[in-house]
Amino acid sequence: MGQVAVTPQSEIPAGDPADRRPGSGLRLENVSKSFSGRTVLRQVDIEVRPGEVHGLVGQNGSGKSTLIKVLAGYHTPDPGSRAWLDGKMFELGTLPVEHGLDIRFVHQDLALVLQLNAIDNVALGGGYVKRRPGIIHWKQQADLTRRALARFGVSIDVNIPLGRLAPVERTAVAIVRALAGWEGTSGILVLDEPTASLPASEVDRLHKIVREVSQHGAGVIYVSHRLDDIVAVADRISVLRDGDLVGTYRADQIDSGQLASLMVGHRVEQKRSDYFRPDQTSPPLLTARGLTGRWLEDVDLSVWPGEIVGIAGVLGSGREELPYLLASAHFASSSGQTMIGGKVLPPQSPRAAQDLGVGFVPADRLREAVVAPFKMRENLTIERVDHLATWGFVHPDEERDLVDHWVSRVNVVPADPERPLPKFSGGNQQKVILARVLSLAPKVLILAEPTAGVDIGAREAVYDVIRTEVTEHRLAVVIASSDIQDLTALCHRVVVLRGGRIFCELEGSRVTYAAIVHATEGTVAEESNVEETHHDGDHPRPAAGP
Amino acid sequence: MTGITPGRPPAPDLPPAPQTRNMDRLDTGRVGIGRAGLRQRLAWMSFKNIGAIYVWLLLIVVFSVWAPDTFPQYATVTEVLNEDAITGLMALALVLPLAAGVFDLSIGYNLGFCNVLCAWLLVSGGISVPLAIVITIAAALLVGVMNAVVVVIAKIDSFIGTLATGFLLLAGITIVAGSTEIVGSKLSSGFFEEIANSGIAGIDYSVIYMVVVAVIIWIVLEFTVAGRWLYATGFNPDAARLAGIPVRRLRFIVLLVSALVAGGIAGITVTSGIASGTSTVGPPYLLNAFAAAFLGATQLKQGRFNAWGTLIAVLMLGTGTAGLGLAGAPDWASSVFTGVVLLLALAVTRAERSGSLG
Repeated sequence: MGQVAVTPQSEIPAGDPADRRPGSGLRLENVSKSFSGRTVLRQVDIEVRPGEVHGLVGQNGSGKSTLIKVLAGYHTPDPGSRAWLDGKMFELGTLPVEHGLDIRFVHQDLALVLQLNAIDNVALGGGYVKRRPGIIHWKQQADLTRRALARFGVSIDVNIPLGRLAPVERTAVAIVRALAGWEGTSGILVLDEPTASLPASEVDRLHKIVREVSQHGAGVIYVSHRLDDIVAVADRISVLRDGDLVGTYRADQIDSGQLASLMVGHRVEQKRSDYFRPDQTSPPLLTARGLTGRWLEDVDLSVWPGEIVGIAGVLGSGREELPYLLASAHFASSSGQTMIGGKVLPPQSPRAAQDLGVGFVPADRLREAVVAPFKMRENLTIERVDHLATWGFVHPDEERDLVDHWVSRVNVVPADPERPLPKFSGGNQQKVILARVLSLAPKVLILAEPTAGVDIGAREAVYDVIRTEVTEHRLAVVIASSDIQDLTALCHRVVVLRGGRIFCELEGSRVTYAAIVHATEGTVAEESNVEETHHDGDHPRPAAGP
Repeated sequence: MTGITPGRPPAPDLPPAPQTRNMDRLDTGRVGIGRAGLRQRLAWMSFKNIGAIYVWLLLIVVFSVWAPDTFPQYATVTEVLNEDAITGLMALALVLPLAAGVFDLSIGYNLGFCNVLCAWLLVSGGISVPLAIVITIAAALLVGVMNAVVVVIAKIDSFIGTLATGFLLLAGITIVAGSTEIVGSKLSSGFFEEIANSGIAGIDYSVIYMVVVAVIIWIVLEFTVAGRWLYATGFNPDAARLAGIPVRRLRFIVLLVSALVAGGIAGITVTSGIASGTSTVGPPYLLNAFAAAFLGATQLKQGRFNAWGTLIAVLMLGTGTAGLGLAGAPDWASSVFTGVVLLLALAVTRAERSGSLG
């Protein structure tokens, strides 16, 4: 134990094994997890001491969320995985509360009822104080809530609905709820991406609350994508990469740049076949000027015919919002202007975007794209069905021809148009959604999370569809993805967003996994790293500071 | 008793058999088509798909045994059809809004309002029959516009919004009719009397109107772009909007349609049928109409609100009610019957759905 995995690329000392007190805190040993033969977590050893804030970082697919889910009892780990809490061995893969274990979770979405006030939300976790059976002692309940919040230096009006509180105050309520009935001297609190939806100004307040919790004696596991955030709050940081624990490091001896390097490792960069060279002599097909929305601030973007531009950034950077603005698919108000082939795109009108030749694949396939009980055929033609009709009557033959054409073009398996689309695999669903959009012969293609929920094997097929279309029809493509592989596999150029603004652009051979991780997450080192890539790279683009 | 199938087995509703049109797939396809066709026909005949028809047939057998003298008669056939024509029209009025994911709870009051309005126009207003019909239809459409403004433009949840407009219509009913019944010779004679009551072979014209409306709704939902988009709107409004479907316009239009069918067509027909304007006529139809529309959605199209399923549901429930009456069952029995059938139908489809999805 005491995880001193010294990796070749790091000269950073790990946590000092001497100051660990065996028998207290959380110990995970040899934790592995595989799904149908694929190992996503490999013999991980982690120790979280009482009173410690323990950071946990790793890219998508590093096994980070699997580890949290194992701890939460959501996944059962492989045999041989062992765990102790305060010296007591317990079985992973079962709900901690069932064993009276003090492991509590605050998930990313907080799971609060925003219409209810703090008193009720806290009571949903810990129950109400009752005057008599069935009669709630509201005054005492309110005092209890206020005191619990005050313990972490939070003072809010406990009687107003949470929807009217600041995001960090909501997080505080979620933490207090998770800690309801907590003794305050031991136990583990797991915070999963607590800063994802927080503006930068509120992160410090959250850090204070977290330290308050740990100073009372609890161990805190703090999962975050923001590396500077982790370095600022954590005592020690464990880094996961491709299912392996890279090591556990003391936070005061590491910076976010080094962390980013550890997360990336000596990755063999994918050889990108340069299937098409964008033609930048002609005017751009898509031009956005001063895009500003809920997250974005004054973002400019131009995309030329035949060019695939990636959008990278951590959660909350504006990466999720940008594709929706470009496709005019957002609800909230925004400003700025998007031109498609020289014509102005009116805001908040997917239909108008479609008419101007914008094809859009939204991020949440099941909620925003798949029409659930519809057959594959109906799903595929839903956007184009009015072109297949006379006097409003659909021509079944033309529809079937179109479906057959696209089913074989994007290779949907099984090729049964009458099967309900939800019964297809994620990858095949995505191919159908792509075919739906491509069948309108768009000039501009906007893709959000194109491979979310698509298994590894089917990814390449989705990439192929995109590549083929771009090459044959010289589309201008924007891909916003949290999965860096999507960007390195497809993009000629990647725009990195931070805090709603363009942080830098990577182009050509500089579009590498490591460079994107550094640019999105590191703080100190990205300067040097970007510098490094300048040397081997061609024409660097000036990086706009945050 | 073989006569009780006027709803007709809705063969045209059968989804087109999947055809393999690619040349390279023709060889394997030829064998497959026969087998797939058979399998599809069997699936179509399954209890899950047309359970209401089996229950209907069972009811006919049961009542024929229970009340052998009164039930298996041609008079029963015409009674069930004539009695249920208005319920059928009301249920059909709901099909398009429900397909597009909006409720219209105002249809019962709309029916009542148009009933008293039409009667009042003829009796107290003293205007000609065609003009009264035109004004009543215009009033019904105005109600539809009001609903659409509330639901689509003011973005008030349709369940609450149309409940509220229903109350406004209730006020309108009281203003026009008070607590008295509007009767007059103009209502019970001549052309107006014939609108609902005369017909062919004992079957009223109102039944014909019901079938015509069903055919139109079936054609719209099954063969047109609008139908495809209505279903998409109802199933997943977010996806529909992002796919460029005019969700709001569609919802606006279907609320006009439901008002037209419930207030205009059913309203005028019911006025002719009962030859009076009565303040209590409309509201009781609401529950029956919803029961039939929801039961109908479990039939034929696997969860899609559809015209023929709705008509089958109306007639099946009507047969049960009529049979219970003829067999001398107590008054409350028919309500119990409707409630139990609806619960069972939804339970069966729910069970099948969760079963198939694991």
